[in-house]
Amino acid sequence: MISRLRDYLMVILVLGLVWQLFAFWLQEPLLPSPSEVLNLLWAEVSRGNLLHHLLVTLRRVVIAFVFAMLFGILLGWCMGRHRQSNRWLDPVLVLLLNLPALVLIILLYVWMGLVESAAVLAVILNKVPNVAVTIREGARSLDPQLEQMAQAYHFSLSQRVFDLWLPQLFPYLMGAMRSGLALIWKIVLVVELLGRSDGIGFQLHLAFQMFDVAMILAYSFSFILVVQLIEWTLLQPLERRARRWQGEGARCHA
Amino acid sequence: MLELRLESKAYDRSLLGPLTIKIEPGQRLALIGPSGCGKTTLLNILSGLDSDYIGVRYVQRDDLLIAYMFQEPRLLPWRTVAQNLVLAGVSPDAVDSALSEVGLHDVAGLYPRQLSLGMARRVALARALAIKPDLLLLDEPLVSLDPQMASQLRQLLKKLLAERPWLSMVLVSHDPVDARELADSWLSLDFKNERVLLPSEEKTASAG
Repeated sequence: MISRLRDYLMVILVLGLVWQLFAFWLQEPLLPSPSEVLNLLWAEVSRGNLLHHLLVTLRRVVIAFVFAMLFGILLGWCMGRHRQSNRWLDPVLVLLLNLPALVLIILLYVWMGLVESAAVLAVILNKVPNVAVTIREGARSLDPQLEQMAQAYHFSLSQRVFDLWLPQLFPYLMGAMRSGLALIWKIVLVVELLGRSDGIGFQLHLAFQMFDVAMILAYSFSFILVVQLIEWTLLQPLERRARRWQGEGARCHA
Repeated sequence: MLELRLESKAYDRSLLGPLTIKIEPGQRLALIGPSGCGKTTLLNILSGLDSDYIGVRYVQRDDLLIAYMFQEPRLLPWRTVAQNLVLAGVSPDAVDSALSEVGLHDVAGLYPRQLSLGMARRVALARALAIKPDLLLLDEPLVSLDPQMASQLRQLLKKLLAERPWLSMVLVSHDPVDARELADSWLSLDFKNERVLLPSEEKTASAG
């Protein structure tokens, strides 16, 4: 754990150093140095600006994440377990998977107006098919032998869910959650840029109009940091807890 | 107590039949025959797992509690031994005594990956017996164990069965020795399935 943290910090430090050197060498306002970005970040934090927009974006991310996971899991489970439902829903899924995020966002804004519900719904609809595809794979790979065992020993529904299915689906759930978090916050920024008047995406929009690269970087880094914190404090401990049965050797070093 | 008639020779899925199996309380029946002849399918039908098998007709089927010990231990790898037993319906207080009955001590807190195949089989046996079944189905309980382990487990099975004279058992085995040691009647299956072989009541040496 300590050595992993050390490596992590070292990579960040080296990248920062390279960036600083380039910025110093080019002396170009379109490539601000890391120290300028950090200064601006701090200034925005102390003005309270950054926190406000960060929380607005975070709220959208959380709502979209929860609903996208919920619907995606339900859809993926049904499609993985029932051949017939897979046959009916697969064309819809393929359509949604291949529909560009931007098209969905524009359509929903046009149909529903530039409102919060349209923004969040656009993000959810963009993410649901990804979750569904992952969970469908998981649902298809459930061990039929354990299924028989559960049937022979008359497992109750809750026992099946929590002791039989969830542990088998867990790697797929983790995968869907990881990629989900990364994808959702990126789409949320686009949604904000196109039709909201607050959030990180909105601030990026303003900075873009003024070619304020330092501002763009400061706001992006703030959210990358938040996502990284979620990974460290929520996802990784959850994963460690759930993988305890595999023992030391099999632990995932993500 | 349980009488099953299979008459599905004409259908595609049918591996078995026509065939009649009758199991009385306390009867120990061995199904023997070459691998692939449908012994496990027959166990699955008896246990109710293969309920859509064509041509199954129960002449009589009392409401029995059936325990199935599969060929693989089939323990949930993410649950401890004790949790595996409790999930199958063993009361938490009875876990330790159920395990010590099959000769296992201090394994309740272990995960299945920490057990050898022999130990995992014993856990599976403990699970099957601890739910206090009327009918015990055993699918090749001694297969792929080394000879010493196999003979230990055979002795253990013999002892546990002797302690439960009311318990009916259906054993699937490819090994005539197991069948002779553990069962009192035999049903031999082969690929042709043309003969209806009723369980023989007397102990004969020809188990094949």
